[in-house]
Amino acid sequence: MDFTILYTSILNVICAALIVVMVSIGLGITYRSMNVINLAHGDMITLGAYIVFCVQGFLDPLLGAVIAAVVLLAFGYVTFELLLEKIHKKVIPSILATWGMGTCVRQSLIIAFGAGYQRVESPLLKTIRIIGVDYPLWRLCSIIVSSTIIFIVWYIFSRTNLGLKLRATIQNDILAETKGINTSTTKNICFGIGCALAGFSGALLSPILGVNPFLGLSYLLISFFVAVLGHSIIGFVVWGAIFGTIGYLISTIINPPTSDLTSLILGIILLAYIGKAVEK
Amino acid sequence: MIQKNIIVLMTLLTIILIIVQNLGGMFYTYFLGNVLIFAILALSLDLAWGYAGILSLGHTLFFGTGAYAYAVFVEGGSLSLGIPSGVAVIVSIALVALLGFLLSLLIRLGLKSIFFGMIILTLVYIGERMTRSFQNVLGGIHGIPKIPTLTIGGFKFVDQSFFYLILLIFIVIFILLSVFLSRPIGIRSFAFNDNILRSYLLGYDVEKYQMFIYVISAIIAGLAGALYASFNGFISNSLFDIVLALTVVFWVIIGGLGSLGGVALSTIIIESLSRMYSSEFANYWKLCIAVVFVLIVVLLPEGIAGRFSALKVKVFRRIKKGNFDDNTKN
Repeated sequence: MDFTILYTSILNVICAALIVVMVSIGLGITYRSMNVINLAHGDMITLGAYIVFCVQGFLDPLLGAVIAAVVLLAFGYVTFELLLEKIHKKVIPSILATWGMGTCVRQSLIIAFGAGYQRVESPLLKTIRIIGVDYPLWRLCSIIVSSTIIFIVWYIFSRTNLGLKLRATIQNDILAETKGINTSTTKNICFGIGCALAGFSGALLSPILGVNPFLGLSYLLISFFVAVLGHSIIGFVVWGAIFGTIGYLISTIINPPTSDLTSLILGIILLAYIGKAVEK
Repeated sequence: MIQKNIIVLMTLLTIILIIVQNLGGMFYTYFLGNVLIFAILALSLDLAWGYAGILSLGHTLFFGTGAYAYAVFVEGGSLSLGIPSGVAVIVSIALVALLGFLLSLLIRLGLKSIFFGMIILTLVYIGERMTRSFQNVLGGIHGIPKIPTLTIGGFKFVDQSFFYLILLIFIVIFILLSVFLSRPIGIRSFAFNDNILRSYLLGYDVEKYQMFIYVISAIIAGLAGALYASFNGFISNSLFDIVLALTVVFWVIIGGLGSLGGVALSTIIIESLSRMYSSEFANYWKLCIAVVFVLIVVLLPEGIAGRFSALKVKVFRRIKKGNFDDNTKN
C-alpha cells in the first residue's frame, strides 16, 4: 500500500495548522491583554509576506522572515503608542480604528505593488526525503521554525519575568500598575508581539502561497475565533490546530470560499454554545 | 410628527437635486442617482447601528446580495429565469430579508457587538470570493453587464424617469423612518441604547426588537442594491469590496450615528466629492478615506457616541417624558 500521499498530506496539514496557531496566538495575546480585536491582524500577515517579497532578491526568505518579524514588532509598538493608547479601552472605537488601519495598509500595498498575485522564489525549493516521502524543504523548515517560535512564546509568557508582567497586566492592569509595572509599555509590547507573530507567519506563507494584498483576510477570521475560544497559549494551540486542520482540509478538497464559510459556521456554533459559558 | 427643520432640509435638497439633474444632463442623472442609492444604504446602516445598536460593519453584504439577486433573477439576466423586473426586485428583497433574519438570529444567540461585526464582515469577504467561484452565473471579476432596467406595468424606467423614481423612494424611506422613530415603538430604541438592563427589567424583549429592526434595515439595503443593479445596468464584485463597507460606516460616523438627516446629508456630500475627484485615483482615494477614518476615530472617539447622546437629549426634551439621566455607558 502506498502511504506517500497520506504522509505528505499529514505534513501539509501540520504545516498549515502550525501557521494558523502562530497567527492566532498573535491575535489572542492582543485580545486577552487589552480586549482589542485587532482587525488589522490579517493585514499584518500580508505586510510580513510583502517584506519577504521585497527582500527576496538579496536575502534568504528565512532571514526575510526575521526582518519581517522585527519590522512588525516595531510597527505594532509604534501604532499602539500613537493610535490605540487612548482608545483601546473602548470597544467600538478600537475596532473601527484597527479596521481603518488595516485598510490603510492594504490600500498602500495595492498602490505600491498592484492587486494581483506575485510569486516569491524560495531558494529552499529542493525536496528532502523524510519518513519515506519527498517533501519540500521550505515547508519542513516552516514546521520546525514555527513550532520553535510557538514554544518560545509559550516560554516567554509562562517562565520569564517579562511574561509575569504581561500576565499581570492581562489579568488586572490597575492592580499591576500599583505594583510598579509599567502597564502602558507592557501593552505596547503585547501588541508588538502580536503583530510580529502575524508578520512572521505571513513571511513563512509567502513562498508557499505567493503574495497578494488580500492574503491575510481569511486568516483573520480563523484567528478571531481561536482568540475568543482559547484562554491561554495552550488553548490557542489546541483551537488553532482544530481550525487550521479543518480549514486546510476543506480548502484543499473543495475550495477556499467554502472553507471560510465552514470555519465561520463552526466558529459561530462554538462561540454560541461553548464560548458563552466562559465569556462574560 | 417630523421635525420642521427636517422637512425644510429635505425640500431644499430635493429642489437642488432636481435643478442640478436638469442642468447637468445625462452625466449628472447617473451621478446623483447613484449618490441617492448610497444615501439609502447609509440610512439603513444608521437604522441598524444607530437605533438598534447592532454593530453591522459589513452592511454592504445586503446591498451586494440585493444587486446580485436582481441581476441573476431578472428576465434577461444571467440565469434567464424570465421573472419580470418588478417581481425580481421583490424576490431579491425577500432573499435579503431572509439573509437578514438568519443573521439576526446571531443576536438571539448572544453574539453581539464585535462578534456580530466580525461575522458580517467575513461574510462580505466570502461573498466577494463566491462571485469569483461561480464565474458563469455571477460573472467573476468581470461582473454582470447588460442588466435589464426596471419595468413596471409596461413603463420602462430609464435615465431621468429612473432618477425621479430613486428620489421618490429615498424621500419615502426617509419620511417613513422619521415617522417610525418618533413613534413609541421607535423611541424604545433610545431606551435600549441608554440602559439595556433597565429595559430588560421593564419587560421588553430587547433581542426581538433588535431582530425586527435589523430585518427592516436589511430590506432597505437590499432594495438599494436592486435599484443599483437595475439603474446602472452593470455590477461587479466591487460591491463586496471591504473598502466600500468601511466607506458606508464612514458616512454614518461623519453624519452622526443616530441622526437620519445628518447621515443622508453626509453621504450625499462625501459621495459626490468622491465621484468628482476619485475616478483617476481610485486607490489613492480609498487610502485617503481610510486615513481620515482612522484619524476621526482616534481623535474624536467621543464624537461617535457623544453625538448620539446629544441627539437623545434633544429627542427626549422634545417629547417631554420627564427627567432622565444621561449617564451613557460605553
